Amino acid sequence: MPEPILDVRNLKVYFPIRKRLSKPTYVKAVDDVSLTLNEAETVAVVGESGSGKTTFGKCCLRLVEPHSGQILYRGKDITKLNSKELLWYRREAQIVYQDPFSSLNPFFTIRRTIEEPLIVHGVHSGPERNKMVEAALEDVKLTPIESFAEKYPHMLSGGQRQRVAIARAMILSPKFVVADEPVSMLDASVRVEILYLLRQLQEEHRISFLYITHDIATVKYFSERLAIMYAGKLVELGPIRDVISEPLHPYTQSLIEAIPDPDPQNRFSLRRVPGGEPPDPTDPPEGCRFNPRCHVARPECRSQEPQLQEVKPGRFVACPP
Amino acid sequence: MSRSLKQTAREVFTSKSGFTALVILAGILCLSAAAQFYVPFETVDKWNSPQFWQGLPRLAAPSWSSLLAGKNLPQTILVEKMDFLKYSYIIEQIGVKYITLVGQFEYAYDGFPSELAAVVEATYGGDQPLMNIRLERPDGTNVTLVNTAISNPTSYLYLSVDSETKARTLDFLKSAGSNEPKAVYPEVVLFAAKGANMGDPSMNSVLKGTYRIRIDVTTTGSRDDVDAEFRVYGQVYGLAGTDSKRRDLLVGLVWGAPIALAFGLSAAILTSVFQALMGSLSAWYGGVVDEITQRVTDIYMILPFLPILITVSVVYRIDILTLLSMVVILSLLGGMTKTARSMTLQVMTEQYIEAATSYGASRRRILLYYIMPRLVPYIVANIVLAVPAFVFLEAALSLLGLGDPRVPTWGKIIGDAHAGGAAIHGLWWWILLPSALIILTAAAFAFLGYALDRVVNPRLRER
Amino acid sequence: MLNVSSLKLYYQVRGGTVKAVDEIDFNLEKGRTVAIVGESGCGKSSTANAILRLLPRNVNTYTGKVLLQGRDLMEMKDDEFRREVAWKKISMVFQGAMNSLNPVLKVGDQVAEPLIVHSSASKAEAAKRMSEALQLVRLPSSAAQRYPHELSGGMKQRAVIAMSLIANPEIVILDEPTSALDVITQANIMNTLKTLRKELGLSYIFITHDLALASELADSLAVMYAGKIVEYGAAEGMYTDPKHPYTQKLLESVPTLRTDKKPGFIPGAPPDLFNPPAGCRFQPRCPYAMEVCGQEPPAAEVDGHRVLCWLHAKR
Repeated sequence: MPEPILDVRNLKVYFPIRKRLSKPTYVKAVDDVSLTLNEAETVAVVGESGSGKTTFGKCCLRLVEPHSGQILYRGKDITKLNSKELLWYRREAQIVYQDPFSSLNPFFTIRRTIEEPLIVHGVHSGPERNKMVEAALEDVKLTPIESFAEKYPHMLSGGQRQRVAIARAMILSPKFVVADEPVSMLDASVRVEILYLLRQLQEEHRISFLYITHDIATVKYFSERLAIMYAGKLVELGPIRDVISEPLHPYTQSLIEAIPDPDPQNRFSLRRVPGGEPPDPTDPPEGCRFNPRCHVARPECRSQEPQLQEVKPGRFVACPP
Repeated sequence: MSRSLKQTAREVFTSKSGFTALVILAGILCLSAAAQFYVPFETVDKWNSPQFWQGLPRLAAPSWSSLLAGKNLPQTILVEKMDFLKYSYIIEQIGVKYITLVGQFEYAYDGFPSELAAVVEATYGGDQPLMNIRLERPDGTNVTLVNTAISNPTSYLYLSVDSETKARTLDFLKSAGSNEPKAVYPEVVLFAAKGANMGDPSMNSVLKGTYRIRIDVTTTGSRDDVDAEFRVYGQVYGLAGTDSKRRDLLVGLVWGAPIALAFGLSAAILTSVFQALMGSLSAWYGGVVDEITQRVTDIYMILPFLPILITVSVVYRIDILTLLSMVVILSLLGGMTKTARSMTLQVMTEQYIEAATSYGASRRRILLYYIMPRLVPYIVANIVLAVPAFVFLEAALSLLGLGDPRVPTWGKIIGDAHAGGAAIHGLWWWILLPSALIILTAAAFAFLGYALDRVVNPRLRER
Repeated sequence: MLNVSSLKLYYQVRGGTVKAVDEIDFNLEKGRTVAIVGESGCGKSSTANAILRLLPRNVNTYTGKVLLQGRDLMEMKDDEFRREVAWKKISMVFQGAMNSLNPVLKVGDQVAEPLIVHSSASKAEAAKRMSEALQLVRLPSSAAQRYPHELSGGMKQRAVIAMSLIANPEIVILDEPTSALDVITQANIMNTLKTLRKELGLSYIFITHDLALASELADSLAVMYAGKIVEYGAAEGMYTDPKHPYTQKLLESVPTLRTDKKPGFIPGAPPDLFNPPAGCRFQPRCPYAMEVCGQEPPAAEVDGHRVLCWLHAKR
């Protein structure tokens, strides 16, 4: 079994909140999460708001500092890099953001936006950069190039802007990309197109993706494995088909139940979903964090925090049977 | 970005206020350009040497004020050396040389001269020559103005205030059958038609016609020679009049333009840019740097600007460049710092800034290429609006007498006017003309700033 | 109950006219829900604004017939409309409303406000109605004393729904009521809406871009594209056998969790309402485009659907 390209071990991301002079409280955005990512693989990280999925993704790129834990990229712990090594890592690992408008500098042309990473990493020759920019635009199918290169972001549609963001992420030939809700703000008819584009780029360039989303229905089109996060914890992990067809964790089950397929029969029945809200990240409940909303909660769920266990090869769940 | 600059420029200048600003500024720039040609710099150098301005009347209104007054106000008439006909003959036996200078001029104005003066240049060997200056009026009467010895090679005779001339004028007045006025003004009486109230400017009338000046000099040396100049100073002069030192105000006004603009612009640009830079750096580096910068800015903003400048310039004589430097130093941090800081803070939270970090852009790069360009429209608008403030500041300091004493700026002119009691004596041109120019310049920049603001803000609003 | 015909709403912008709502017709029966589905910029929100007469200042054209129980709302004067219809007969939950709650007012006051504005209710009556409304939307009564920032997204949305119900309307227009909410919260809100419909006999106009979500409430479905309703019919038929190419493609592009279909997508982008292409608006992206599509397609009745497409037009 080849080494995973990314190996996250016991990652904790805590944000301190100063509450007057009392001892500091923390927002425990990511609370002891371990995950591996293999080469040319996509792992989807699914969760609702407050689950910590975005923080997790950003921390893997060191855009957010970890409180404790290790993140090994190709064996190197990126939580302890010096500035030169960090620059190297910033070439290997990229991010595609959710909002295609605010993630592009409105004062840069498309060409400038895409070539900026090249300038930062020392590609000084103008013609060489132009060649690479044009190749990138072709890769994301923004052709003809002349009609896009000199435009500004506000002149493009959401889907087109997101392609630019992807081109910018690809230009340095990264091996690891975090896609943070890349299609959530796009029209329905465009979403799948972009996900297919990402999949194609993955196959062509052997890139590993962390696909962060709250829309579980899209993971089928662009992921091999699925990780479910709740309140900063990883509650289930496994191959996509298995997790969706046979969800083991009650939260995963609720998540799947909550999502409608386009079926006119839906209007005749209520969905069986838990009420309530995800917990306060500064003060999560004792024991299993999901227990206040869980329909199969047992007495021990309120006192013991469940660990992620491998119940079948490759299949993990944090809920004792 | 240059495309949007052109677009911005077009938008600004087609708006009503932008267009007005453009017109005014063009006018002022023309004035500055004219300064180079019409009034070369030596004239400015001469601003402070009284000799240069002797031929001009004192406190003369602009010539176009004749139109306002409805009368044909007198211009200065200079009967110069070469205008005099010179006769001389020598009587060898008694060793006497007589030199006679005759000059004439037409006087057709509706008003009286403001002053009379004569400059007599004599070369003589031993004894002092005697000189007799006589005015021959168009009505046939003659008046001796001066009958005295020449005691200097060059004599400046201020006939209007000369006691001998005044006494003789009084005699003339009485002999002409006029009442005795309260004060005798030779420049009035000598040019007034004979009548009961020759000496009273409110009741007399001007005697128009050809006047002659006859200067008879009696001297002992055969080589002695005399030349003279007779000045009938008018009431009006030039486009802007003159001040109490006979200086053509147009020179001062024209040269004030580039000085005002240069001072205003350089102060505005230096302070705005530096303040914005400080504000941006403060926000970008955060933490202790931010705290310190903000507190220092607060102190700066509390400092009383004008009193400090006044204090310094009372103690030390400062020139205009030092003044500019001091103004800039006192404005290194200020309101723009706070604005730039909050703008930077806002831009910092935008996602493309984090994206830049994600592909390895250094903090310095992000500040220079991503954040500062966002601030440029605000900085430009701030510069444009700051210019009037600095123009006024310079004018105020000069007015208080604290500016550079040698350089003729608009504020200095107003200051001189104040010192010369212009308001009390009704010397309106001395105050109003420089004030009008200051106001126009300030207004032009305010218009420009207003037009710019309208263009700058919608861009940010629609984001 | 509600009958909309030939509704037009055009805006005047610098450079021309935007035909946001371009002659649409649909019906709403009592106790039923019509879902208006379309992508961004298709004019669905403008339709809601047109019905409730929430017009911006730059309106160019505003014509058509909106019959509420036989009475034409378009004929009413502004103040009459505001007095009798707005909020009392028809109310609305706006898109992103939960984010436009006034942060300095308590939630209870904001929920009660429409009642005070639209009718002459006394403070006591308003308070009573307000706590009833909060109960209806399953909010605890303590929520009334809270400020918006103290509530979660789901709770804020429930408060906004309570606000729309407070004057006892018969029709509620829901414009993307669950956007920006988590999936489980969304399911809970939809459950509440389903329950309220039964409890209060409400009729809904449900506006959304999410076809799957629309199926949670829709009895009939109207698909909008570039200001026009391109297909309109009963939910069953619309989902199982759509006739218009756009509806077909839209349905195809919805990712499904439970079935294993290959999703499609529609190349290109929705048209600029500012300069719509001549003839059928969908023509540039339509896989079946024909030459005749350069002309405006007529409305045709096929299998109980009203379709705007040359493929189904009677020759």
